[in-house]
Amino acid sequence: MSLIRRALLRLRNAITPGRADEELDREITAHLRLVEDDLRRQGLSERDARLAARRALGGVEPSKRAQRDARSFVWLDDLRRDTAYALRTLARAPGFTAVAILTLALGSGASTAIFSVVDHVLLRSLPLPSADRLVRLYESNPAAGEPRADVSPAHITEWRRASRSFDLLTPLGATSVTMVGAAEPEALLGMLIGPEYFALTGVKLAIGRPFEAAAYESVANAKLGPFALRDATSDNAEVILSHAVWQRQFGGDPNIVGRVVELNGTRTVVDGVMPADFRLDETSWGVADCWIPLVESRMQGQRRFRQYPAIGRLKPGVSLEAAQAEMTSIASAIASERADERAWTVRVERLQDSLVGDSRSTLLILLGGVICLLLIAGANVANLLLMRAAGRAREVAVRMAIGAGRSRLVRQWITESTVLALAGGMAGLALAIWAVPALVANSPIKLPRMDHITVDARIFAFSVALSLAIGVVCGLAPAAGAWRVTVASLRSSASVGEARGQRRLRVALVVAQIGLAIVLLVAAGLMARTLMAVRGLDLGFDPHGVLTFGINPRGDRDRLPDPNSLRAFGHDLIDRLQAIPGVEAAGIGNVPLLGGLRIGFVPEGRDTGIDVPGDLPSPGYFTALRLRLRYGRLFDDRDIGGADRVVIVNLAFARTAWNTDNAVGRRMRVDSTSATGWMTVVGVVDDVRMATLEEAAPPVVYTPYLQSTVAMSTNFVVRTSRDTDETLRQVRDVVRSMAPSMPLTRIATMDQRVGRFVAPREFNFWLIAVFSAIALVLSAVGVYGLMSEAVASRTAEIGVRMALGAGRLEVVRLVASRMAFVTAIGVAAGVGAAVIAARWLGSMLFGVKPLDSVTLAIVPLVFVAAAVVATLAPARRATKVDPIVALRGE
Amino acid sequence: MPSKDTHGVALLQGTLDLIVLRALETMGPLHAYALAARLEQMTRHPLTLNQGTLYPALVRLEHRGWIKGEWRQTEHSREAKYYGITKAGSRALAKQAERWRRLAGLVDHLLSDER
Repeated sequence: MSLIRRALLRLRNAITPGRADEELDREITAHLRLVEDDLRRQGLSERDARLAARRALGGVEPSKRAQRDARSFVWLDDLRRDTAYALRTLARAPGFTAVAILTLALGSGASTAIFSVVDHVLLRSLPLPSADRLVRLYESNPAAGEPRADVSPAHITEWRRASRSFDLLTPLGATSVTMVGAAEPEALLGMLIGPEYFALTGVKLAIGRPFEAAAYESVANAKLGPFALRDATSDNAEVILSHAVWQRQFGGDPNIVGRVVELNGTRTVVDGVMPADFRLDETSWGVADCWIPLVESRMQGQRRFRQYPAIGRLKPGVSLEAAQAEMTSIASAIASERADERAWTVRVERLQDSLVGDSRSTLLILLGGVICLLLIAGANVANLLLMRAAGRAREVAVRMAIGAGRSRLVRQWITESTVLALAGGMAGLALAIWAVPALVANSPIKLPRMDHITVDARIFAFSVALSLAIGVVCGLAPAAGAWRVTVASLRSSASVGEARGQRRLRVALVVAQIGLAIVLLVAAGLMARTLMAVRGLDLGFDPHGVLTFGINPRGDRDRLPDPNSLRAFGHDLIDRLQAIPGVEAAGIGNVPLLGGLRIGFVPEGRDTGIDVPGDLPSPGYFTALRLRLRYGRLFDDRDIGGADRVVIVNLAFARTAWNTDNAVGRRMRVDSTSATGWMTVVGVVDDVRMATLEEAAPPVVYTPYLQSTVAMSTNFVVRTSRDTDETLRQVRDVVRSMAPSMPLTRIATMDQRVGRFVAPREFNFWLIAVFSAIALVLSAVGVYGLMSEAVASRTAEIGVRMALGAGRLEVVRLVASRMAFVTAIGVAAGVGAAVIAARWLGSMLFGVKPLDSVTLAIVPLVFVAAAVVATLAPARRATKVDPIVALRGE
Repeated sequence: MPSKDTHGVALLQGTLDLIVLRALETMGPLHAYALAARLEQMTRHPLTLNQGTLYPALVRLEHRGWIKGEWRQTEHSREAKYYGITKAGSRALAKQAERWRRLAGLVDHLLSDER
């Protein structure tokens, strides 16, 4: 109790010393007066009495100080005074202060911004109950290039039965639904969810209630799934809406529960509304507009449709390894029963890891980049402080002469650099607060919980801790110098120069800066080369001027009740699209980069099928994308239902199936029990980059859409010679005139689709490029500082040399050789470090080796150029040295 | 830096507090000068005590709530800050004195054994 009281009183006195000081002055004055009175009464003169009183008190000032030390925390008091002193000295050198703060702001701002992303994405756990127990399950077939495939519902059912590791195991799915009957027809992204979804996420509906168990068996709900069913049923399907859709389409109607809309032509009742802040991106599809019960029983037999992401929750105490081991044995049991499952196994990953995926290494590389930047900034400030310390050695000596202790002086230096670092840190924090939203908004890489990234208390604490650490470390260098200053140095009339050790430390700091800048520049160079390689890829088609979009035929079931009517609709739509002014070609087909359904084909002469992306294009598809024909012909009007069945394959398929390029005339059949007979290859086209831009083109088989009996693509491609926006407006008009309640979906130009794959690389490149540009400037400033100081401290020497007849050229050579020495060591160290560090870049590089000779040759040249520029001003100053003035100064 | 005792009898840590409390209890409220004078009388040893060294002890004791300062007039109508012992101070004195006696006894005992 009294301990706390004392601490509080001391704290008050440390913060507001004024009042207590006044009181003390008054008390000591009174004390002196009393002693004087006594002494005078004993017969001393007034003057003698006053002196004797002071002697008796033992010195007024030490008494005051002793009392002050007792009434408050000494260190806190010192800190307050040191801080005030630091602020005064810093204010007296505004140029130095501004440069130091700006440097630190850049370094710590970039670090704080990147750290806030890393913290939110990698370090904080998912905002789900028992997040650390959630796992994602994949079916895996690495040999077929599918290390992480989704899961077939049949397997989920079997896993649930056989596994003991999970207390929850549920599939998720996505489907596109068209909603009619609210404000206006809209294509929505529907998330298909199992009954465990609400337990898994812990979400509480804003309005209404979760689906009842029966909803997951209802035929009506099954109709909303990805494979349309045409059972006649009088039941209503059910849906839960997102908060945004509820606001947008229903104006936030409080009586929304029970309202009936039409989803994909099925009568659907709204069961509830999700809360506004519920944004869970379980998968890469995006933010869901509505949630629909996933009716698994309808898909039992279909093992090959591995299309549902599966999420499980481990039972408490079950390790990931144990779950993986159990799932591996379950998968091998399934595989031993079924030949077509032989190559498949199961992969279990932590949900957080699977969501973050490859972004982890990218983020860590960026973090490494900003740490380099921070170190460079810190080295700059340490160097500036060292330079100032050298200039203030005299001040230090004077302060020591009048009784300042060495440890107090060291504390003084560290206080000063910490004040500086905190100011820089706060400026950096302001920079981060501004930069983080911009970073998040412009990032083409959508990371889990990216929307939630803000600079919060945790990030603030990080930033302050970082600044304190920088302050202490940067302050140590000049503080170490203060140890060496002695009062004796005041006696020598020469200026108190910096010690040899200090000078070496400054050179070492600049060398380290150069090395780190080189590492960053090499990274930026490698990424620039990667970007060039990606941009230069042969896509196999021409993306410029191509518009792509999809329709959702199930939104208009009256008009398009079956595949035949859909094909007729598509045929009609293509004709009308081609009539739009400026349209050169229009066709149906799954666009490249979107991927197609995998279908098994058996080439004639082989007995096993090849699983490849299959596409069902119309003739216009090839011309619209400008796919290059290598052999044979493209599809044309002959290739309709009832005619000879034909296919077109790409080169990769021809080589895989028949080990030849020209496969025209070869035959194959669909790998299925309900065999449809032989199909003849009529053409071979060039390979096209599919699903991801950077993977080698897979084998692909194209079947004419009019000869397909089961499915049809609902994606369209249109090549236009006019503005794509204008064409899009006309396309909308055409579709609306044919089917008023059929909204377009998946609208994008082909350039945009390609851009989506290039954009992450561009983004990462620009980040590293900005970091390395700042690093280059900061380390050039470091070189400038070092050379300026070298010229200043050697003015006398230069003067002597000039007096002895040295020309300007020789003076410049003197300065340049010093610069060359420092730069050469720095560059050599940097290149060495970069060679080691480049290996970590692996995942961020494409089409370029980590030891790229072009990059490793250019970067040092760039840096040397910067160092030369930085040395120009000091060198010029050296040539302007007047020998007479310089010698007189000595 | 606070000066170290380099001459005379160095006071043991905490002794001064005890002496001040004792003086205030027996004499009633005193100002710092009177207290210093009293201490010089009280101690049999010629304690060379700078009067200024009283101040840290006074602050310490006041912060603990054991004494309380108050501005008053002296008999020669000068102003001075008089310190008086509080109830908490009396209690603390009793406890400290007991502790001190026990400690002194122990040290005395040990020293006589050594001899």
